[in-house]
Amino acid sequence: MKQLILILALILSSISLLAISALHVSPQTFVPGTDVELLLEIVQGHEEISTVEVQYRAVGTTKWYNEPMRQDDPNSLYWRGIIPRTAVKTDDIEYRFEFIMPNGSSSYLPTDDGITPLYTIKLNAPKGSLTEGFVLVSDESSVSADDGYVLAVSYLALSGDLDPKSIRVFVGDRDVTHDSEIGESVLVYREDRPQDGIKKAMVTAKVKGAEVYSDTWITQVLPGSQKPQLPFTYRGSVNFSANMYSVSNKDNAFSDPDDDYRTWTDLYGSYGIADLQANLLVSSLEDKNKQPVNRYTFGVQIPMLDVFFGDYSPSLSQFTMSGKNIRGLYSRFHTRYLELSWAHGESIRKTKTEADPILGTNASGTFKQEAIGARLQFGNDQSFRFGVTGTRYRDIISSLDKGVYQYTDDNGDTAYNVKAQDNAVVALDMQLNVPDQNVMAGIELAGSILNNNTIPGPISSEDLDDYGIDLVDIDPADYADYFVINKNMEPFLPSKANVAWTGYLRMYFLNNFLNVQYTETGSAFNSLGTYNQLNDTKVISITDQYTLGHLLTMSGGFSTTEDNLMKHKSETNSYQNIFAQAILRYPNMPYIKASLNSSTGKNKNNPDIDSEFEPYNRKALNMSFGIGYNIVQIPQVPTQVDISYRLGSSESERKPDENVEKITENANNGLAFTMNNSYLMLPLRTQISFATASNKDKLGNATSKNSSFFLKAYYELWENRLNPYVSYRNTSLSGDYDSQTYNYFNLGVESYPINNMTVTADLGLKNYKNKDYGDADYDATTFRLCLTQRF
Amino acid sequence: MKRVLILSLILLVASVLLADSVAILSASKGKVDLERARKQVKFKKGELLQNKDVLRTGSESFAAYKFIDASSMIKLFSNSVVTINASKSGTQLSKKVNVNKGNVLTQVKKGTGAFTVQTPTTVASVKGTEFMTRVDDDGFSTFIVTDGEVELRILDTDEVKNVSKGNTAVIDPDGEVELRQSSAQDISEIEQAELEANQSSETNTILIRVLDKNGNIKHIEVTY
Repeated sequence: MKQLILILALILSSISLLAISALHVSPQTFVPGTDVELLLEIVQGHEEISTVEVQYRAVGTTKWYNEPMRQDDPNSLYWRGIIPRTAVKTDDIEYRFEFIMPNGSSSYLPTDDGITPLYTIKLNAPKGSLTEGFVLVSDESSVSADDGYVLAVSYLALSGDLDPKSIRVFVGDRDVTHDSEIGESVLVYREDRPQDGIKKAMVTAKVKGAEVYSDTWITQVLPGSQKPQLPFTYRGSVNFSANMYSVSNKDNAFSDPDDDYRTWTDLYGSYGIADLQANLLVSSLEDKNKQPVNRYTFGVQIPMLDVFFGDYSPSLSQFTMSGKNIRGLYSRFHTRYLELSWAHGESIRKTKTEADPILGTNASGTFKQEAIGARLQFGNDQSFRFGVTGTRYRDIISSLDKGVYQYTDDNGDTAYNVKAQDNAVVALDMQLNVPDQNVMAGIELAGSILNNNTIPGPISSEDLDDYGIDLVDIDPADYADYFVINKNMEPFLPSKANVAWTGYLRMYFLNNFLNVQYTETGSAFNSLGTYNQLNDTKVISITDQYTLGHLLTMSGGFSTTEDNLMKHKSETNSYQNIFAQAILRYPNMPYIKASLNSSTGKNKNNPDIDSEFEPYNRKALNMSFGIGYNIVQIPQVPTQVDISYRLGSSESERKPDENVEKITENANNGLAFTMNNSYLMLPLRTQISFATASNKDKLGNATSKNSSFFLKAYYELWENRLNPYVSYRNTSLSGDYDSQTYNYFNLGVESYPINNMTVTADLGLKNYKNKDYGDADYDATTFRLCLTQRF
Repeated sequence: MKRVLILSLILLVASVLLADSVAILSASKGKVDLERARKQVKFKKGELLQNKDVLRTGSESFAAYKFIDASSMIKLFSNSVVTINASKSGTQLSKKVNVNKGNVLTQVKKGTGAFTVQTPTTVASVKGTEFMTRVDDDGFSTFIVTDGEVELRILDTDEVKNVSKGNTAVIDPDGEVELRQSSAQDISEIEQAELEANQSSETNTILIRVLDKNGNIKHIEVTY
């Protein structure tokens, strides 16, 4: 029974890692020069998410930029984020959300399958009003790159009313104000040797204190005979943050974290054809004996070559190396018909436990692990590609002291606290893409070998003979540098059990994005370079997304997972999941959203193995309905509202004999409400959120409830340069829980003292009260300081 | 006396600091000099021009500038000298082009405020027109009007003449005016000057990148 529950739990948790479901109503347009505010509601799998980031870029470019999302409160289903005002000025934006799990793996919304479209928002008019007072003096529609690009704009007609210091000049998506010559009535920006292409330019300023903007002027720069000057463009941020904590009742407080400080910088630059990237993070939480916190990445991308040093998460193929962080070198040489990728580094894992004579535990630790991956690909994603990928992950025995991983047991035998592994995977993959027909199909086949303990070293030829294996003049010791072969191999001899394969079909037809995938993973297939390997299973998943312009988005899917593929176990567990969600949005009307998630699990006996069998059934159904609206009709207070109601049930039962015995039976429901107000008469914004949820254990006849209330007011002073805010949150648990209350009071200020600099200071007071156990009460004070300079 | 000197110095410095741009150099080719406060200054395409700036073109050279109210384009052909004059009055710009020598083509949009062209003998008031002004070494001023109408005032006599499209006025150093229909040679001279101004001594090739329906990059080559 225990084994059964473990297997089921493994399946359920693994599936749920892949089953994040979220609803997002994308703003259709954005105003350049203002932050694009995004609201994301997690309807399934929120407990599995560590962080959420929004990744954005200008349409037509390839480089992603990340911005973290913030959860309203630790229990909230709502995450908020922005695409910063400095991001894009003259082009449309496309973006997606990245969900990062605690183990470092990530998934995307929309799905990163090469066919489902990203969220796109169109460039709208800038903030303020259009003025004809800006007159383009340099009015050539096209110029040769040899003649240089000149933007000359007169604002003579606005003389006296316009403050020249408020002028901002944008060419492309760059703020070129500092490179412009700005006079009383005219400004000039010039590039002597520009790169050919389309240049879009725009000017904003303040006239009598009101924001105005110009037309967007388009100039085509034709290629010239001279080599273009390679402008170094850059963007990014330098950040520093400090968190200081104080807890009143340290013995009973849930946590008493140490003060921490971190500084990080993200730099993205381009120099002609080269894109450069540097990401550095240094934290006071870095501890040599814990998982590393510090991160650094340097990257250079030129048209046929990408090179990254430091921390990087290469993705070579689904079964070999996929999104796991390594610290080392990643390079990718890519032409239209040939691609070669190489990754070599160390998986970052440093954890050591000292021996505890009182508890009687031995010292233990984790080996450093070397990762090597290579991929050769012919063809490309746009037509047909064929790839061969190989990876090897090896625990480095010398990275731990012998006394840590090995000891002698009571019988005098050598025993291991921790074992070193070798893992090699080879995969072949093919993909056919027919863009004209909007069809994509592919397959990947992989085989693996794993050595569960390489510490004893390679097996001798004599021992091999004892196993009845004759390798004819091959001594495993000769190949130990590449892979250690000994009796700890899994499998000892290659078979179907160490093979995994997947096939998929993706197509777009009649506004549907359909994705069908089948995956089989053998019981002995192991790949240390990937997450979420469900050994000994087969998975079928079908998902579809239907879009009708901006009016309607519907998505749904079905997946079924069945284990015991090799029929070695006494029973087979199967699990089915169905999800559906829809967002209906009619222009200027409220949007309506709904989602459904149903899962069932059961087991069946394997008649080939004689053992005691206990059938079980498990069901869960969750639904949510929501409505939201941007209520511009309220005089002076445009208000955004989002309300969601969710309900669900789950039950599990077993049949020890002919009778059905219920193990669990629960029913839950909850309401979430969030409202944002922007006051026109006052530079004030407020946010009010309320959420309540209850869960009823029908068998135990117990109900647990929790509710939270959040209020935040945000005031803009000195033309948005100093923004004090205050917030209050109350979270209460009751019913089957101890009656507990958390109160949070935060007072802070966001300030923009100089251009593109943000300084945030926040003082938080937390009060915890437990009515049933008063000794657990405590107060905590947190002070946070964050400095960000964007450039 | 000392106070007067200091005051004068302050005024001089202030006038330099407060000098504001009135035009922008939109093109230059060959030998072009820009003189500001009697000193040669280096410049680039897109240079902001100030009141009283003097532009000179050498042989086989060309320059063009626009006033900042985007009202007009002034083209200087070979061996020409022009002094730029403009004064702001509120949001209006009063423009004046002093043609000291050479051939200058003036293109002025209608309804864009006062605009005059002055030669040693004549002031031409313009309200939306295109005409060529020529001042030769013998002191003759010629106005060839190709569009709109120009009102000429002879400085010595205060005589006023209107010259309409298709006509040419020649004023001799004594202020005598000859009005006649523009000849084919007059028009041809303008066209020839414009052609030379646009010509480059080198043959250039430009490659225009385009994407075909399969997403492949193709090039269109244009040689000129």
